[in-house]
Amino acid sequence: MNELQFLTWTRGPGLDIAVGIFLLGVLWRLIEIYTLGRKKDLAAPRHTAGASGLHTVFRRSLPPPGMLKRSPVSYIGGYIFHIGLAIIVFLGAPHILLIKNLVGLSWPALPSQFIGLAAVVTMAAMVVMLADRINKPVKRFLSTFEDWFTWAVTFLPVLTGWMATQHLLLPYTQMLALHILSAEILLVVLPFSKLFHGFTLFGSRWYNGRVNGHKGVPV
Amino acid sequence: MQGPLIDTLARRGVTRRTFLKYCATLASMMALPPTAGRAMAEAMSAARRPSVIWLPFQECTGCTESITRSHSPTIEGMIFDMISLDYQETLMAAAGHQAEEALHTAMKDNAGKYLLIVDGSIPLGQDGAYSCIGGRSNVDILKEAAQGAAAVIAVGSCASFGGIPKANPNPTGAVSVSDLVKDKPIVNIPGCPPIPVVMTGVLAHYLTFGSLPELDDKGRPKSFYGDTIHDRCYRRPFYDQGKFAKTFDDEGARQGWCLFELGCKGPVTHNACATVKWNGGTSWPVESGHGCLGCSEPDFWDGGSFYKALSAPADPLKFAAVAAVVGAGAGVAVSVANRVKKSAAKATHETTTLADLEK
Amino acid sequence: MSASLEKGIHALKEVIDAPIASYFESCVHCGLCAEACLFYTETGDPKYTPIHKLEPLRRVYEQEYTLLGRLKKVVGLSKLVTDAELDQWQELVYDSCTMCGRCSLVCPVGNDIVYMVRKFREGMAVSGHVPDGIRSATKRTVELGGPMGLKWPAVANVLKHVQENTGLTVPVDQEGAEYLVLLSSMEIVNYPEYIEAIAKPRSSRRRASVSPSRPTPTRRPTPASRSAVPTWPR
Repeated sequence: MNELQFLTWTRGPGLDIAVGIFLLGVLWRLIEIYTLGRKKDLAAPRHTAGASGLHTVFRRSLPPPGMLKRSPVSYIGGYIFHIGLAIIVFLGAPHILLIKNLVGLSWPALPSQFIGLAAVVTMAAMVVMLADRINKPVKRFLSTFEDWFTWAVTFLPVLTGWMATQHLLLPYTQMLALHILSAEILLVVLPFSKLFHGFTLFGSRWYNGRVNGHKGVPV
Repeated sequence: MQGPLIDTLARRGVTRRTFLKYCATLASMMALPPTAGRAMAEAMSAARRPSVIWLPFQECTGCTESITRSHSPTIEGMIFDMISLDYQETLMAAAGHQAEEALHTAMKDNAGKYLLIVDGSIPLGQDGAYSCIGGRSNVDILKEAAQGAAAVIAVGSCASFGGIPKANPNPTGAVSVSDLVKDKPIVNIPGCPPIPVVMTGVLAHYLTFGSLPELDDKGRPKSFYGDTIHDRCYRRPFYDQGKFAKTFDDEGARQGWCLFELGCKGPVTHNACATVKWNGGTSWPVESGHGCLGCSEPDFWDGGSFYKALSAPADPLKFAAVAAVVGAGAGVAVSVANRVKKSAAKATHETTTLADLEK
Repeated sequence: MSASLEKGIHALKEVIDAPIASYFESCVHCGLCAEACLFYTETGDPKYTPIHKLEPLRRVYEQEYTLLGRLKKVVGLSKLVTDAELDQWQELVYDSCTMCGRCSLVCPVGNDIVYMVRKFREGMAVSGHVPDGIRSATKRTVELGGPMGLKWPAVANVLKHVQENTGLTVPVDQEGAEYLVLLSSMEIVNYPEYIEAIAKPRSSRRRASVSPSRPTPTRRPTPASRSAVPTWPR
């Protein structure tokens, strides 16, 4: 198989399989988790302004008082790479085209040099996060194979995409095919790993806010 | 058949007398005796132009059409002054048995030294019966001709990589020259067709230096195929700024914006169209408003729609809907199983007593 | 002495719900819960990381309530929760957690870790992995009427003195009372002035009754909580 055939496969059957497994996995896991249900709290609820599940979904995005100083890398590094990923995926012209082909929506893109800059910043932040996970006792203690694996699965698409546009290491066609393949691997792994927090964090924050809101406490 | 150099010189108005004077002057400038001058004259006057044999196989003749448009060197300049084109079915005057005889004589007289140009793919299906010339299959003709060639030049994407006959489902079992010839140096000059001056340029290189130009991993001359179209495209600033034509007729198209969204394969195509251009440097596909097809890459016919951007899916997604349903089904099935398990656990709930707190 | 691992797992299966599932699936091992937990910040020992205190519960959830977890169990690839492990976790779940809830407040993905600790303790209890102090307090409460071991006659005696000293009435077990006073037996015995203060009538319509003498059956007693309802047999 030559590199153009490989590229055409990743754009064709590869994408088909990856998107299929992604949709299958997301629906299965969401239903599996949230249909477990929970017991109704029969106590009379208190009503405090700003204390609800929805409030917590948004408010929990801010570090609570004192926490930023205790773990600046987690917050700052975490935000930089998440926002960086969002910029690359949702404001990069080729990606917007892909989304348009899949769901029909599109919007203006950022110039490609900005996306390249975002990629470098994102990768730097991810490397710092990796180093922190290795160096900090708590993070190292908690980390399993899945943590390292999901880091790599998230890092590779950014790296290969950037390398393709900068013409590094391998010829463009091969690098592009590897980039698309690495993104497909990310899609397949996502619903079945901690990367699924992208979907479940809303439910978790909501439950947390609701339970405490019931007691009249805004969290 | 071509004549010796002395005839060419005569055609150009150089008399025999002038030629002899030139050789004598050359010898004395090199401090050689007068006999050397005569030896030079004899040798040079008998010098023959290199023999070139062009074999057409499963092709559309587009490559021949293209090479005749070469503007520098011109095809006439090539065949009258630089090479001896001993067999070329479209351009030669002879036909039938005469043509066959010309081919065999050229191969015999120049054995080991002639340049073999091939265009068109070679079908292997049905023992090669899909393409025959004079009752012989292309496979056999190629095998025989390649034996005595100094080098083989595969002109066009069909000869280089299989081209359109090889495209899915490849009913004739078409293969490229390099799939069959393994023991001779091969230069691939792909394109559908290749740019005229790229073909003549490679020939000129060989004639001038006596060797083949530097080739990439696909056997293509790096001087013409070293960069991608995208890297040399004059519309690249629009790509970088995110200015794309969305249809062939919108404002962006009129402004000459990038054609990425309209399926341009520039980023994955190596060729010289963006710099050398076509029709003597007049224009090229992107400049005319149509995206690059990627015609100098292997299997470009099967590389996804010509009108779908490289980042878009090559085919419509087939599994998405089914996968979603299966996923939801799996989720529901697990959900039911979970409910059953939890209810069973609750049903067998035993009130905790003090004894239950101690092992 | 009927505590067993099976009973423990059974109890956990009863309490695992959608929030617990969502929390475990959301955890990204960021370690911020440890930064909020005083047991970690004061000792620097990562074993006090709140989400780590729940590891056996996480495995029970995975093995019982997820398709992939169940499949892993069927083919023998899962690490089952053992009695020895629960024994190891007793120190983490009880001695090293006051259920202050700071971890639940800081978790960036919104995990309510303290809620899960509370539920985990239900399984720990019936598998026999409760600290001795808590278990014996529960035993005393059930058998004698109070975690401290005070019996009703002692309390009644104090109430009698209160009534004598102040001339006020301290109604006990009175049906139809408007207010129910709940105090621990030790508070009544050591600080009788509290009862005196409460018994003082502020309005003629206020009728108070001291804590019921029989246990209120609304919730399953857990060894984790000090009984706010002193219960003792008459």
